[in-house]
Amino acid sequence: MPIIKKPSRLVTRRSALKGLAVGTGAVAAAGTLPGFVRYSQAQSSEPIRIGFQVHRTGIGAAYGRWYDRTTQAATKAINDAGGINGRPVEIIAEDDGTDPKRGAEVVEKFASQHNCDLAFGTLFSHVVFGSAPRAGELKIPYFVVSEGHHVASGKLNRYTLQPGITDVKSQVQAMAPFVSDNLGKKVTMIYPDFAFGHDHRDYFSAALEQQGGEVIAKIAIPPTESSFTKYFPKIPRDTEVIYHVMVGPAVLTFVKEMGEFYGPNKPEIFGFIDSLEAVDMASPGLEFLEGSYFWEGNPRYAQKDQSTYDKDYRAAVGVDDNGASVSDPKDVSTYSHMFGCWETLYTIKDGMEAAGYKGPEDRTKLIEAVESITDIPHSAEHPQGAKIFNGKTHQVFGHQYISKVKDGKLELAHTTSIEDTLYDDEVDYTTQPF
Amino acid sequence: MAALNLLTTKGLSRNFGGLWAVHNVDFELPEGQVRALIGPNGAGKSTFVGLLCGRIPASSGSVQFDGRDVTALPAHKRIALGMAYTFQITSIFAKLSLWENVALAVRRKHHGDANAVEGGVKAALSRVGLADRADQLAGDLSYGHQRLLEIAMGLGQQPRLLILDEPTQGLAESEVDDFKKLVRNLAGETTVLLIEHNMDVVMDTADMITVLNFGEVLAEETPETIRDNSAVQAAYLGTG
Amino acid sequence: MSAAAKSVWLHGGVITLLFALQFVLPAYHHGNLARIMVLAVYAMGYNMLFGYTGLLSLGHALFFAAGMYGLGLTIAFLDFAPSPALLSGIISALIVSAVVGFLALRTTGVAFMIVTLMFAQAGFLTILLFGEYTRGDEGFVIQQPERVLAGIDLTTPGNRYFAALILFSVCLIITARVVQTPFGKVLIAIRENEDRARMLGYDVLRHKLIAVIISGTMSGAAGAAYALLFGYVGASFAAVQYSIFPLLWVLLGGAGTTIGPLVGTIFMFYLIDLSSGLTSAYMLIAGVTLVLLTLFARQGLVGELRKRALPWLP
Ligand SMILES: Nc1ncnc2c1ncn2[C@@H]1O[C@H](COP(=O)(O)OP(=O)(O)OP(=O)(O)O)[C@@H](O)[C@H]1O
Ligand SMILES: [Mg+2]
Repeated sequence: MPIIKKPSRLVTRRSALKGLAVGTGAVAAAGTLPGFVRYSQAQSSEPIRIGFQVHRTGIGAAYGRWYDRTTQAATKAINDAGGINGRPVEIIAEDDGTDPKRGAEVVEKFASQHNCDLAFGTLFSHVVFGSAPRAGELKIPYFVVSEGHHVASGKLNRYTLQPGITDVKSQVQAMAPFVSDNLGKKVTMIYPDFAFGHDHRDYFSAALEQQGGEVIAKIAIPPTESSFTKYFPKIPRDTEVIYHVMVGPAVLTFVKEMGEFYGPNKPEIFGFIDSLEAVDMASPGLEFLEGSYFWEGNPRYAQKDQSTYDKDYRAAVGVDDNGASVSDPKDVSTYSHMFGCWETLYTIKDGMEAAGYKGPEDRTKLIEAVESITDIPHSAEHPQGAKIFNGKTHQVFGHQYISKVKDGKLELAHTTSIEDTLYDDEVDYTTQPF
Repeated sequence: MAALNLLTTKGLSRNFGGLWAVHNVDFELPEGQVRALIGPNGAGKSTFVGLLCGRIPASSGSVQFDGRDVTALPAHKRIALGMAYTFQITSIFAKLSLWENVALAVRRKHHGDANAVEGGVKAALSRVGLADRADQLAGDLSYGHQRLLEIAMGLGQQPRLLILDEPTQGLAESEVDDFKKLVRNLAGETTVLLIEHNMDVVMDTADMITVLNFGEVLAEETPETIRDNSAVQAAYLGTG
Repeated sequence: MSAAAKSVWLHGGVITLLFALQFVLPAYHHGNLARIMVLAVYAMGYNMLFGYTGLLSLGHALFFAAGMYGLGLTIAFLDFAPSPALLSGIISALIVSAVVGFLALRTTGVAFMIVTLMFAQAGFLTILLFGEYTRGDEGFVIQQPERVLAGIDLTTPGNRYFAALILFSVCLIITARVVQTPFGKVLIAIRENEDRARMLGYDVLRHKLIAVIISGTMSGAAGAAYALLFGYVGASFAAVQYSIFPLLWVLLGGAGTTIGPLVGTIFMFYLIDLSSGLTSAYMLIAGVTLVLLTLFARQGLVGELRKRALPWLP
């Protein structure tokens, strides 16, 4: 797979950083004042406090567990290598119960109680939506790892950024060329009838049309449904590809019932791994998926041409070649998402180092520094692949992976270009005042 | 018929799963009378008064109150027209003070007029001899006192028709005497329909007695003549 | 002192205390208290029905959400300014509670619980179904410029606290006043002995319906205020746990007491906030505390206080 490699520095920055350097110099000069010296010295050994908003309980718990492991692993790696600006990183984790109200409270706690430098790590979109307004008001940088389109859509604010994981809009639209070129032009979509499913429906239909394909049926499944047999007859006969994004425990029933409906003469099937994150591909009932395709954010199974970055990252987090915990092969990771925690922490590190970050008074400098990041090369710090960060929309863009189920494992079949994932800016956060 | 009838029923009936608890009762109660309703256990007395005040819907027949057909009215509307009802099984607001219990009864008429409510509550509690306990919780009273409170709640409504279902049950001897006085005082003020097993009370207070048996009116006589009614004796007095 | 005078002192005292606290509380607790006051309004609304009228609803999230979406959707799609949007939220809750009350009050007891629960569930699914507009479970943000009420920016801590305090005070005064009126006394009578209240000539159904409407509208005001003050509208607030929360707050603080809802909301908030700092099994701690309280303080905190020391507490 061609992966864009930039042999230059870890992160290339715009010249805007030069301005920051001047600012940093001014702070250093201020350090000659007697009172200030003591303060900055005391602070320099103090850890950088990162508030980790984690889904320990609630529907996000399976994701939260792995987000936690990845975050701890990345923190250890960063600290072992000398921390950030010579200061150790301390993770202050608070459970948000996967609830937007508690999420907002947790952000307040980070900002005003724990004196965190920033908040980080949220996955579920509704929690991001609930928390982001508070982060903006409290003027605390809020680095989410959510893959929602919320950041890039302009619905949030200057303090909210998503530099470590791509958003659903780019993921979905990048699937269209592969689907129409390799699987078929006539697609039936089956998706849950709520925001997440609607995103898939809208972004994919538009992108497929551009490729000359057509979504011939859109089957929305109410979120309360636990049996799906009555929906399969609605799939048109001339369907070439079924695109499914069922989530939650019902996915196993869904696949099983779809198998019973079609028997061996099934159309091509393409799905989003979100359905099966933390689910063992060898689970009974999933045999029917053999030969079907999945989007993966990061290939769960170690591939033949696995990069050393992926190998090291896997080892650091404690994931085996099948994407499960090294201590419990039944404990399957959320491999397609959790890398975002690792990469986000390294982007925070880069931003802080570029900004000469000293403490909460430098928060806006940190945001400006991250905003000026552009190319992010494939590296130990960014093991999922190279990325392009868009400082205006606060959203990162990167390669997407399409894998085929073979012998009950996922084998990488295609890697999209970053270009396939790009779309027009919908917001310019840099024009918003802090 | 001498005086105007405050209450009239025609063919009033109530069926409980095949059993006629009240059957075809034609009943007239003149204004100002104290009427006793007697009859053996299960005769249908409580059911009958329940039909009058709307607690129990009638299976057939009609109820007229104050010249108006109230058969279709729900209980609270009949009460609002001037009936008051006390339960056979004590039914008070146990967690509220005596004062508040009676105030709830008084207030409906004197909405908003705090002085009138205060006066009405005092008067009603005094009449049953509970004025000095106004601040106690109703639930803390002895059973007998709870019965008296219930009567006070009836009085507090200043009803045109006061229906009392076995009010003296559980009262001490002296309290029963006080009760008799109370009812005699009420005569002329309000019409009273009194269900009572204590024949002393009946004889001493009632102007007229209606005897109910198996849901039907067996007799309707004055206290003076009823002792000689052999059918009543057979059914109820047990001396037949 | 008369009951009315005591009520004025008590409630005036609580409001004064809350007013004064904003000057001494550290930022974190200052922010918490603003949120708690809004949620306590929700609890007070719930208390009106559960604590004073004796009707246990499992569907109040519907009213909270009606207020929240009545405000949020009119801002998002009709470009309403915050004040008419707030009004729209309150009116939405009023209408929804009137309709739900009208239908659900045909049942009593467990059936009433189930019917209210089903209405709320239907409301929750409706929000998901109209995801086009509501953004379903994900919800949407109300941006800072849309949260400037009559020139006052509700996104700053001081203004937010003040707005929450005003709403809380208004609702506390309404509650304190209502339970002193003959109408409120009838609600209590219905709670204590419905049959007796009816046989005193009170239209029980009408009183209950008005109680549902006051309760639902107050809950909706809390929902609308939450959206306005904290900038987020989402379906999770319509989900079943948000019907359970006010029940817990009220039970903890003391059902049928005017300040119990506030006390319960504060207690529960800090119980979860502090125990979550100790262990991830904080829901277990919260659960055990709730069980202990229901065993040893059946009337809730303020209810026990009333029982043991201050019988005059309204
Ligand atoms: N709700 C009901 N369902 C079924 N049967 C009932 C009901 N209420 C009363 N009954 C029956 O109707 C008959 C009349 O009962 P009611 O209570 O009216 O008698 P009563 O004359 O008041 O008796 P008592 O002197 O014991 O109070 C009895 O046989 C009783 O069992
Ligand atoms: Mg009886």
